[in-house]
Amino acid sequence: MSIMSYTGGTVLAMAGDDCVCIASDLRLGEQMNTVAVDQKKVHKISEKVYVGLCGFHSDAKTVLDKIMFRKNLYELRENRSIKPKVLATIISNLAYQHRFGSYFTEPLVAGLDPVSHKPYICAMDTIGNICTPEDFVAIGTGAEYLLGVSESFWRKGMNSEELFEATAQSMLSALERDAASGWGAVVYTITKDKVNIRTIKARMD
Amino acid sequence: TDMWGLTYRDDERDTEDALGETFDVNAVEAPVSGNFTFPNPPLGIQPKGFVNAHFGPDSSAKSLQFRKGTTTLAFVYEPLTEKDQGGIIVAVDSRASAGEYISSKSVMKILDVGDHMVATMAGGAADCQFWCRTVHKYCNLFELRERSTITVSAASKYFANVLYGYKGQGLSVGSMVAGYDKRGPQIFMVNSEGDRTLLKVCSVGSGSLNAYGILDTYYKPKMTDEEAQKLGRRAIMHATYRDAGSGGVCNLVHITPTKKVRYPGVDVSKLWYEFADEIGRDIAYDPRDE
Repeated sequence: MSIMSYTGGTVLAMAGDDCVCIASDLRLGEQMNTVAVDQKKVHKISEKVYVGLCGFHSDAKTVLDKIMFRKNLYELRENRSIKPKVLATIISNLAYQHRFGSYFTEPLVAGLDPVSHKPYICAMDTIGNICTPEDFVAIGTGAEYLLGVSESFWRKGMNSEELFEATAQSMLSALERDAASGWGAVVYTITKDKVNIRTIKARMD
Repeated sequence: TDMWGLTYRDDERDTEDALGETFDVNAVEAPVSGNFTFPNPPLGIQPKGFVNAHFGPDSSAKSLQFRKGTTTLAFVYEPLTEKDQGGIIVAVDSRASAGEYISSKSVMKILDVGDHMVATMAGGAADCQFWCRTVHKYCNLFELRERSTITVSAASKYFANVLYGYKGQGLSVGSMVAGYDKRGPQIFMVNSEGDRTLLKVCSVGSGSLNAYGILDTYYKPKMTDEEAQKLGRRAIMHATYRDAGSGGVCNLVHITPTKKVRYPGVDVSKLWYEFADEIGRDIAYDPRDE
């Protein structure tokens, strides 16, 4: 089994009209053994900016600490909230610094611009190539299964309720077919006035 | 006739016996089943190395990986009251995984081997399906010839001998042959190493350790039918919860002294939520963001 699927985990993010949805499964495993069923892979960086980190759990935790460090310094120096696009560049540079000995984690950034509330989603590979599609991004062991379903559920200009439905249903479909992810899912719906956190009852096998 | 990989015996020799009656000499000899000749790989290739390289867990082509990962269990119990029948409970999950891809959620892992016996499937799905069918064929031929039902001991012995013949060649079979015969209820665990063990409580597969935990704690030699079925399903449910290679539905077969009863599959996820309700567990997840 490869190092990227040792601990397992899947994250999906979708963009709508002035809102983004980011969803993560809750499993942490050691190859076939499930060790924990309450480990989310999505983390709050600032009020409207969230980061998803899949792949090897140990590296994901380390990279998260480094991201928080760099974001804190940025906000102290600039005296304003960080934009998701800028955070993505910070993470990309951090990843490329380890070009020859990379962290085994694929980052995903999802959020709203703190001033204009424009939605932004992007995903990166382990060495920091940023890919910014307008519709949805998926990372982790269940990424391939997510892409097909998301393609059919996503439409341009969805509102937050529709976006939540699309994200949740795509995530559930992927968890049906990926043995290394599952045991529940949590979905964050980020809009300009609030962040809605919903846990989804999923298959427990 | 010589079809690729198989040879058929078509030499029908009629012989005259002492009374001058002709009979087919093949009918006197023991039924030969499984007379397969698998084509050998080209010179120099070792079958086990070849199999592991292309179809094993380190193979780079996911779709070629063999389907493994399972939980199967079986146990013998005696009836507690007169309303119970006792016998053997065989419970299995229904997931087939090729690496981490769940290739099927609805595999039937309890296969029939004769009218009063079953064999479970664990390890390589294709290997188990093929060889269980071979054993079933042998049992049918045996019963036609001997005009009496084959014992579990004999069927499992045949199975074990066949597997021993392919030892070291990369087959992966972990099967339990369970049934009722004149010696009572018996479960034989047979595997591709050539092992054959008589057991009262048995579990095979990647989730077997989890199942053993439940079985060993709650097994009693005398149980009611309902308790026994609940134990079988509960053990499977716990195994599917912790093992990523097991899941789907729990199929259960109850072998009684007189018949084999197949129960419809119960979703293991539904079983888990019922269990969580029973012990009053709070299933809600709290994200705990700082």
